[in-house]
Amino acid sequence: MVSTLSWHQPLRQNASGVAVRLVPDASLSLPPWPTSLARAPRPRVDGQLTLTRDRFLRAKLELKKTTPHRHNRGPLSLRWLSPFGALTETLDADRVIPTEQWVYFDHPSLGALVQITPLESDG
Amino acid sequence: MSRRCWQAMMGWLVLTGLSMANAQSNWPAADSLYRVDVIVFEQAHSSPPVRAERVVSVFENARQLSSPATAHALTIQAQPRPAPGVRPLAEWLDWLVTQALIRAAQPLVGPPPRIDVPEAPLLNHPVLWQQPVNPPTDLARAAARLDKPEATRWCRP
Repeated sequence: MVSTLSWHQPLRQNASGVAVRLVPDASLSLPPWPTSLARAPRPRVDGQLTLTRDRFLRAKLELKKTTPHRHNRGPLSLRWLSPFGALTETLDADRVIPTEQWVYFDHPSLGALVQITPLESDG
Repeated sequence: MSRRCWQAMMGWLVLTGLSMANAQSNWPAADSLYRVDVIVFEQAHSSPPVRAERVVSVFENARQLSSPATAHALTIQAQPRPAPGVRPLAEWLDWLVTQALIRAAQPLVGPPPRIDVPEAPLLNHPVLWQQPVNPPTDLARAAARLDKPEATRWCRP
């Protein structure tokens, strides 16, 4: 489980959508120089969800999984210090979704469930 | 009351009415408010990616839910003492994701069988109000691929 979020959001007709960060505190920065193996960051998932409403309700889901990757070759490779890159996988989906239903976004390594509920039927 | 004073008062009323109308037009209508629930998870058995790339986050411009500037946007927090008979939030979410993965792994042949979703735990919304989450009435539909497989574009670098 990466994150579970819930919020209320106004969606106006034909208005540009506001992107909402799906994984708070997901900032990951790697220096270009060799990094200690003990400080190697773990895989991170980051992304955002943008909802727009025209004739239909559209959800644009962007997720990115970043897996630190150690480079064992090259002139900067030492025994205890090794340059890190990152392996990235991206889920980029933009589709019309129904309301009041859990919608599943599929990907080989990621997944997301999204439910949009109008406020008047929220209880 | 003099004529000049009367005109000044009428002008003030007109300007006040226009500014109030403008302010109300900026307020979202009740029917345009939506509640958004999102669960993001990683697949249990994923194949390794194939290419290395420098880490540059492309989502820095997205609105942070935990930011004080967006206090109306809330992060789910489980209640410390859930009602008896109600599953803890983490357990319920794990169950939901597991069922979704099971359904995703099965081929879509005919209508998916109906699953009895257990009662969801209460979610604590400290800023707006406290309300129970709406449990999905038909998890099979949520877990199944609603559109064609190519509707979700897989980008593998």
